[in-house]
This record gives sequence, C-alpha cells and structure tokens, in this order.
Amino acid sequence: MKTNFERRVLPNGLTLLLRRDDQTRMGCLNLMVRVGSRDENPDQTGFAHLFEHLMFSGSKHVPSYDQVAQSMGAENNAFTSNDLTNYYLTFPAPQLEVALWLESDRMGFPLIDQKALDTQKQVVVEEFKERYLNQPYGDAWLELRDLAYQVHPYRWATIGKEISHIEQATLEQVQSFRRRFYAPDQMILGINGPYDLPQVEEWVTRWFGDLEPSGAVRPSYTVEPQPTGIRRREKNGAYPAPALYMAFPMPGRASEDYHACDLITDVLSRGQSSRLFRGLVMDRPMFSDLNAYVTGDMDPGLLVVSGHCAQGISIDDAENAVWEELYKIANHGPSQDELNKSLNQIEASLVMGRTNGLNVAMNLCYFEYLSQAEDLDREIEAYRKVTPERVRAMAELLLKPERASILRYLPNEQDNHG
Amino acid sequence: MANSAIQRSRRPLPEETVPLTWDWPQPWGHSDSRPKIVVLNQGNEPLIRIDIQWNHGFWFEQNFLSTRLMTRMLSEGTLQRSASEWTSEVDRWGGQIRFSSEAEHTSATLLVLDRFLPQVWPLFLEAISEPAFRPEELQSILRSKIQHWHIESQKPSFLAGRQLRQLLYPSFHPESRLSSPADYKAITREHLLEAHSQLLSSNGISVSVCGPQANQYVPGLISDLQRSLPKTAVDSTPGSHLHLKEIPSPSPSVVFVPKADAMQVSLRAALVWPPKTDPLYHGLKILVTVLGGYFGSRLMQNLREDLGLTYGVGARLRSYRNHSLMTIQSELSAGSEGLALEQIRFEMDRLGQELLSEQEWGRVRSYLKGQLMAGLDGSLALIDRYWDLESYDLGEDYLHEYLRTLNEISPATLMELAAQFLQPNRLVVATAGPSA
Repeated sequence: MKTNFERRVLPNGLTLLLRRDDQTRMGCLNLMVRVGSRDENPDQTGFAHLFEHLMFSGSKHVPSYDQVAQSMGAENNAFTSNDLTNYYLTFPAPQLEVALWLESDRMGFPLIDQKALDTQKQVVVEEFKERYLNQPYGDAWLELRDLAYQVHPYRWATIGKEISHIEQATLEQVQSFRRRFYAPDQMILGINGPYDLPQVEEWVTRWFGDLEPSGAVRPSYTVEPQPTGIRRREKNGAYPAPALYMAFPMPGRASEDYHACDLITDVLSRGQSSRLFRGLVMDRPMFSDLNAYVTGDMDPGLLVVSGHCAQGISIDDAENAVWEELYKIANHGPSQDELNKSLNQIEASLVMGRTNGLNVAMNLCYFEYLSQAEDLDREIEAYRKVTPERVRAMAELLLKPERASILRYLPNEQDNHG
Repeated sequence: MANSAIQRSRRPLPEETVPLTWDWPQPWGHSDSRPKIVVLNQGNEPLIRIDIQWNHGFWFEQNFLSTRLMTRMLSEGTLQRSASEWTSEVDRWGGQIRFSSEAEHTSATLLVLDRFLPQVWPLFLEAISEPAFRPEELQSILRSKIQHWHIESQKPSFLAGRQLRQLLYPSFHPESRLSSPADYKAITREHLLEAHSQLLSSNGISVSVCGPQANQYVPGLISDLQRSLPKTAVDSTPGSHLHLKEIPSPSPSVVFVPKADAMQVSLRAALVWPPKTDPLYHGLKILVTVLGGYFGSRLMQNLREDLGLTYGVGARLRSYRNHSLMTIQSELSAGSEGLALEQIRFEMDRLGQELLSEQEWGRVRSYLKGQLMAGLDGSLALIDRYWDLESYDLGEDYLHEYLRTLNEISPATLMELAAQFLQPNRLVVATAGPSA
C-alpha cells in the first residue's frame, strides 16, 4: 500500500500535503491545527473546542462561512481532540480555489464578537449536557480522566472540566487563545482530489501565503508520573446496571511500543471472536457489552477496558473476570494465530479507509503532525513487526493493579435491574 | 511574504464544471433472470462487496422482535460451526459481515479484501443458509438486549421517540408496538427458525457485486447462491399484509413524557408525507433540506445560532413503501421546548407564506447538487445509492429526475408544496424531559 502524495512547506510554515486522486470528482480539504485541550489553562478548560465553534461565525471578508460553503456544494465540519483541532470540507473538485479562499480567511481573519461568543457558549453548554450529563454513564470520561491523570492536561475532557469554564469565557481570553495558536506554522493542510501540484501550490500560496506565523515553539507538557497504587472511584445513583471502566497508562501514539499496546486490545476485543466478547459476553455472560481500546493520544495515553455488567452479576465478580483475562494475556500472550487474525483485520480496515478521500487527507495530516506523513504507509509494517512475545511483555508491563484507575457505577438497590 | 495583490473580498471563480455523469450497476444476465443480480466492476482498492437484500423486514414478522433477533443470531454459529469457530474464521480473514433487518427489508453485506473472498464467501453463505440458533447463544444475546433496553430507557430521546411512534401509527400497525424486556424473554429458538424460513429464502432476493474484479467472481457466486439458499418460503410478500397498505393518518398532538432527572428535553416531531415513488417527493426533499436538512437550515439558524437553545436540530425524511415521514429532532435546553416548538411552527409556516429568496434557493440547490455528486462518487457510494432506490423498485431514472427537479423547480412551486405539506397544525409532537 502506497499513498502517493507530495509535500510543500510555505515560507510562513504552513505544510501542504497533496494526494492526487484522478478517480474522484470530489475535492477534500483537511486543515489540522496543532492545538487541542492539552494546550489549555487548567482554570479555562474547553477553550480549544469553544474556539472551534467560533470559527464558524464568519471572517473579515466572508461574513458567513456556512453560506459560502453550501453555495459551493460543500459539506463541512470540524472536531477537537486532546491534541488537535481539525477542520474539513468536501466539495465538487472544481471548487478547490474557492475552498482555499474560504478556509484561509477564517484562519487568518476570523470575526469573533460578543454576540457570537455568547451564542456559542450557550450551544456548547447544551452540547456538554447532551453528550455528558443527559444520559446514564455520560460523565464516564470526565470522571476517568480526572482519576487516571493527576498533572497532565489530559485530566480534563475536550468539552472542558466543568460548565462554568465555558460560561465564564471572555472575548479577550478567546482572542488571546487565537493569537497564540492559530497561525500557519501551526497548521497542516491536506488535500485529496484530481489536482496538479503546481496549480494547488500556487493557490495555497495565494490564499495562505500572507498569514503571519506565530513562531511559537511547541510546548512541552507536564509528564504524568507513573501510578504507584490502584486508584478507585465509585459512583452511586439511578443507573440501570453496574458499569466498569478500567484504565491503564500506556505509551503515546508515536512510541515504538504503541502498536504492541494496540494489539493487546485487538486480541481482547476486536471482532466477535475476540477474547472478551466471546469469553465474557457470550460464553460466560458476565457483561452485556465489554470493550478494550486505546485512546491513541500523542502523549502517553490510556488502555481502557469498559463494559456494563450482565443481569444478576455483581460488579466485583465482573471486575475479577476482567482481571483473569488481563492476567492471561500478560502471562501467556496471544498465539501467533490470534495475532495474524488481528493483522488481517487491521489491513482490511486500512484498505477500506483508503476508499475515502477525506480519510486519506486527514490521515496524512495526522501522521505529519505525529512525525511524518510517510509513516501512514508504514502502519501495517509496524503492526506486522510485533511478535506475540512483545504483546505479552507489554501486557505484563501495563496491566497491573497498581497501575490501574478503576471507575465503577453502582445502581441504587431499587434501580438495579440485575 | 504578504501577497498584497490579492483581493480577499472577491470570491475566486471555480474552474469549469463538467456535467454530472455516473456509472451505474449493470444487470447480470437477462433483466428478468432470478435472482436479480447487478454488478459494478469498479473500485481503486482490492476489495469486493456483496449485498443481498430480501424483500421483507420486521413489519412482516409473525412474532414480535423475531426478525431482528434472527438477523442478529445469524453471526452466532451455523450447523457446521460453533459461534466461536464461525466468528474466528470471519475475523481471521479480515471479513466484515453485517446482517440487518429494517421495517420492510432484510439485508446481508460482505466486505472483504479480494484475496480473502474464497475463504469468507462460504462462511457468509453458511450463516444465511444454515444458521444454528443455538439456545445458549440466544440466551446471551437476549440478556444483552434486555440490559441495553434498560440503559436506553433512561434516555429522554428513547422515551420521546417511542411516544412519537405510538402517536403516528394505529395500534394494529407493527411500528406502534413498543418493545419491553418481557418481549425479549418470550423469544424462543423456534421463533427464529420460523422467521428464518419465512424471510430468508431465494424468493424475492436482489444481489449486488461491487469491486475492481467483480465480473470475474459473479458466475461462481451465482451458482453458489442458487445451490445454498432455500427455494421455498411461506408467502410473505407485502401484498399478503394488507394492514400495512393503510397509510397512517395521525391526529395532530403534543404529548409530554416526564423524566424528572433529565437535564434536557428531547423533542421528536413528524408529519406523514407521500412515499419516495410519488412525483412530488423530489420537491419535498428539497423543502425538508431548507427547513432543517443542513447546517445553514432555517431551524439550525433559528434554534441554535440565534437562540442558542440546542447543540443541534435537524429535519429529515424517512421512507417506507407507501408513505414517508418528515421528522424533526432536537435535544433542547430544559424549559425551552415551548419556545422551540413555537419557532419550529413559525419556520414551517413561513416556508408556505414567503418565497425563498433567489440567494437562499441558489445556495440550497448548490448544496444538494454537491451532496448528489458526493453520493455518486466511488464504487461503494454508488452501491449505497443503488440500494437506496432498489429498495423501492426505483432505478437510475430517479436520479436524473431528481437532478432535473433541482435545476427546474421554482421558489413558487416550493412555496406551494410547503403550504400543502408543511402545515404546522398537522404536526405530531412528543417531548420527554423534566417538567417545566
């Protein structure tokens, strides 16, 4: 698998990655900004995400971003994570220069006034309630981050630590955030479509070339100390069933050990034949659902196991059953056969991902941010290099009680359907 | 570095646009051959996708929930292999197999790397033709479903959605029947076997094969299909379910479901509209886009951007054979549901009273043309569009007609359609959340 792309870096630091794709009539533009919730002040959390909302409020030369996007037949959106903020557009291919004009104007000249800020604060507060507070277990990630991290900014979620941080955001704080992070040298622009590099480079230079770089040096983030004992938190309330979240610190996305950690969770939980689903959901029904996954963060992240207990199963028995599976992989590792199965699944997913131009543009930007875009094509090799013994050794290193943060939801007696 | 010559306030011109054309899946063999098979020999990646669709769904089942549980249990082992063996083999070759049951259709989809088709295709067929429905696996699935039901039932969106279905459909209609844990507990292996023999025969199936090497696989796939699928089935053609031919005609209403500990109010609203096969449907699709079908829609602008009442509000069309539903959904700030509903009705009414400006209509038309182009870009997208139409016995002509409507329909016609179909006083509304 080879993703043929070309790279250019503008004098102001903007990185352009172009993948020419003559099989499509759609263009995709992905603009990744190197700012996420880890860059926030602990007393002003949720700013990266709030700012993403404000970037749809219009700019100096384009009063309504959405109206222009829609008039060019585009679909657009954005998202914010702990590490990055990502804006994307797909549009009929002949509209590329319009897309670059549109995107460059809000990146260089956003218009953010008090009215826009007041409205988006309300919208984000409703998003906070909808996603995190208005459904059972919705606050799990707010709680789990707070439990698993003590000093690193991953201890709060992208939406923010609490609603009051969003409600109290001022125009001056928001503008200061923009000046610090929204500059071309903090941006990676990925484009996929039937385009020639010289033409694209000319347009990108025309529209992004006059944006001033910040010259900002990437911050270094506080290193989270290794945990020295098990951390537990229990929440009692009107929950429909007991639920369990177990988190273990693991290396960051760029670490050479990342792929072995990811394979631990694949063996445990990828597909219906995986150990946790087959063992603890179907054959020995301790859980109604149970998953293992890695957060894939750039700084050291988390390997997580989470699920809801089956009817009539106590949370203690359910947790013990998970520990048995974790010890099993830490002591004996996966078989080569299990690993091959995961590798074929990963390869199929990577090939399927390549059928979507936006996915390709986004991945190129992500790997460029992480290290270099060329690494996208080395992913399958990196997974194939991992041996069963390496997976076992990583599981042994990571999956220990003294490294675990465990969040448990316990229903009130009268609410327990178990 | 600064390029002082550029004039940012002047929007650049797009390059010349070429007319929208597309490839379309082609019939294999005679057009009246059975089963009906179409092929799209296209794609950039070494993948093959095979879809099978049956002309019946859970609206036709004899035992409540049996079709949905039957399709879920298809991936839990066959007469030849245990669930563990079957799922291991599928996962081993990176195959993605999905069985699903909709109201009026049941479908099976296989997506796999070309080189592993010989290993995964027999597993796919085996699951469809020889499922085991073993009681142990069934009990595990039922326990999970019940637990999931308890979790979902805590969400205001679940409560509002159920209430809306009961308001829209008469009590004899399968859509009005609401599941409970007792319904899951009542399901037996025999129910699944019955649903399987009733629905998943070779009668009334359609098949698509898509991929860069699709043509070379089709002859073998056809003979395997003909050999594997049972030939006879209980008559479950839509015509034998006369109660489903009746178009729902709900009374306008607003019903509130209390959920004291909720932090927001969930709103679900709907109107019954003509089906996808109706000549007016294209215009109605445009209308629902203007109202709430895209980010710049009237409802998003009003409820989110102007009033800040919600993170999102949307309107969409859901199609069935003899009708469609225009639905509106939003999670609202507690206590704001009255204002939100007032504004929804205001926007519906306005579309029937005022002409769309040329500017807004131009924007919506461009947006929908872009959506159409994106929906026809790439082999996997094309196959999705094919099934969107095939499910209603519609063909490629439908897309040409839609494009023609987009080019030719006028704001005056859209206003007339809105006056006829977007009547605020016909709206059926369910809300769930804390009391005001």
